[in-house]
Amino acid sequence: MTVIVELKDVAKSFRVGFRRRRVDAVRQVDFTVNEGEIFGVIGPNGAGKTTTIKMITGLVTPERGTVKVHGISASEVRSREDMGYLPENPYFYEHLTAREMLRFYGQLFGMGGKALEKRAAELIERVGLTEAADRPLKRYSKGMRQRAGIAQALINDPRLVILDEPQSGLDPVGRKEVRDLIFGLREEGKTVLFASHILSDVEAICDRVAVLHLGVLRGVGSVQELTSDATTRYELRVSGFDTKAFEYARTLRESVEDVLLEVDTPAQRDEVLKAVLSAGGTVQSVTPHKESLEDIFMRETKAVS
Amino acid sequence: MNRIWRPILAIAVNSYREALRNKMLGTFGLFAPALVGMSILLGQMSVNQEARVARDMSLWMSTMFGVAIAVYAAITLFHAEIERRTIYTLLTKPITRWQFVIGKYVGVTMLCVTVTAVCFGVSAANVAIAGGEITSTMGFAYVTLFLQLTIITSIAMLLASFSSSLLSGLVTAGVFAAGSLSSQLDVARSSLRETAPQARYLIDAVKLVLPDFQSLNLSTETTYDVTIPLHYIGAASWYAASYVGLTLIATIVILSRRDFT
Repeated sequence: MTVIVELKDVAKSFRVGFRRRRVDAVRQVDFTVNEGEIFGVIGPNGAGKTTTIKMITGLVTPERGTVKVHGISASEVRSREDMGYLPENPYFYEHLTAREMLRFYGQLFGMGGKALEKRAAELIERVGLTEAADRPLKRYSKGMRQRAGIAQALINDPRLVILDEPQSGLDPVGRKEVRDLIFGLREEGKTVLFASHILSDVEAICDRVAVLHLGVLRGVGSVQELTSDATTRYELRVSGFDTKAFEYARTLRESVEDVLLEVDTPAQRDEVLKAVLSAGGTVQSVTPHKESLEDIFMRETKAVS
Repeated sequence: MNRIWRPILAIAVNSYREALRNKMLGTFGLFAPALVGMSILLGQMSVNQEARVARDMSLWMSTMFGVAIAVYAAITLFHAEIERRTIYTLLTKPITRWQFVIGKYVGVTMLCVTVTAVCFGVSAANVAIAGGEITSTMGFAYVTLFLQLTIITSIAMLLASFSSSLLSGLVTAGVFAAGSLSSQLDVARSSLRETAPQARYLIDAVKLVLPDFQSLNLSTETTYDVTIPLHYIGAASWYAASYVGLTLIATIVILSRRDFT
């Protein structure tokens, strides 16, 4: 398996404020991103996600450790030849239209002529901006701007696409569009590295995930590897039963027709079910729940905090 | 070669286009009437000297206007890339930081060419209206005005690479004022020779660092139509190129060491 991005023992701190106070943005991060996978970097605000991505893109120089892209040090310009990048809350040249913007970014890769025009037109169509292609970016909505940003990240048809919070500020439709686009990139064989704090999307999209908190890597692996396979709780939807009978059963929702209860162990589940049936009640559903990425996220962040 | 020059040209053209679309040259709408009005007013106050006054006033106003536009454009076009974070999408492309600096500089210089050309056109019309002749000295004065603008642009970009827009603008304006008064430094040096001889080292150091805008200002020569030898223009161009080169190298060094957080 070809390694596309490699971070080894990376650390970075900044000096902030009048007294030049030292802030450790990244303390210890090691991970690799393999060719063709969708790799997510998750963590709460201030976890070091953006700084890590900026070290990969060469905007920030690591204080310690090595960062390599396609086997080349991220400090070298060559490492960015086969890379596309969408920053968090991107701001583009508002005086340009989407077509002009793509032309401009293409020229930065040394592209030009008909090949560039063709590529720009393809991308405009792909991100659904055909109607607005010749409108200045200052008249774009947030979602349209984000799509234009994704188009610029793909102008050079890169093997590695880095997206920093690509779904931030988008409505559910916009989020779905971005998710579909990321799946499309994987189908083309591209490697996608993206940072997000929308955990449901990360869980649905990513092949592997790195969990960062306070600049430290808390875990890396597939969602299945990070979460345990064991069921952690059960949801029971029942009716015709006194919910106060068992102290350990938590009532999640109560209506005239039924009650939604939550218990932790199989023994508790069986005991409640037996009691419901013996009291002449009805069991409408039993749903087992496994540990989610959100559970991992909350557990790791709480443990360190 | 394409991989080196195409990105530089793209950044330069984008900066120039940004300046035009942001209507930076719209201020010419104020410049032209102000120039003609001032020339008429001062011309009437100086009997039979209208053309001379028009030439002097035109060059002075062109210098003020050109410097204001160059400083504003250099700082906004350069600093805005950092403040608005458009630089993130630039420097994550396969371009070096020196290509970025040179591209930005060329873009602002293209704007300076336009500003100087328009100023010359408006000034020539103003002198012609006052009954004066458009002399070669007047043309050379605008060439050296352009050289002053190239230097001031490089200084503004250097300062904008590490300080705020406001501070960069104020310091650049101060450097222009001090550099335009270099003969006053010579006077100060002579007068302090007896009382504070050590001060000459400080004055010499300041003179060495400050650009000599006074030598590039041909206002007296234009007013009295003194012939300018070509070798003077050659020497002035060499001086400006050297100063700009050193300043841009300093800007590149600062920007190369900077993290974009």
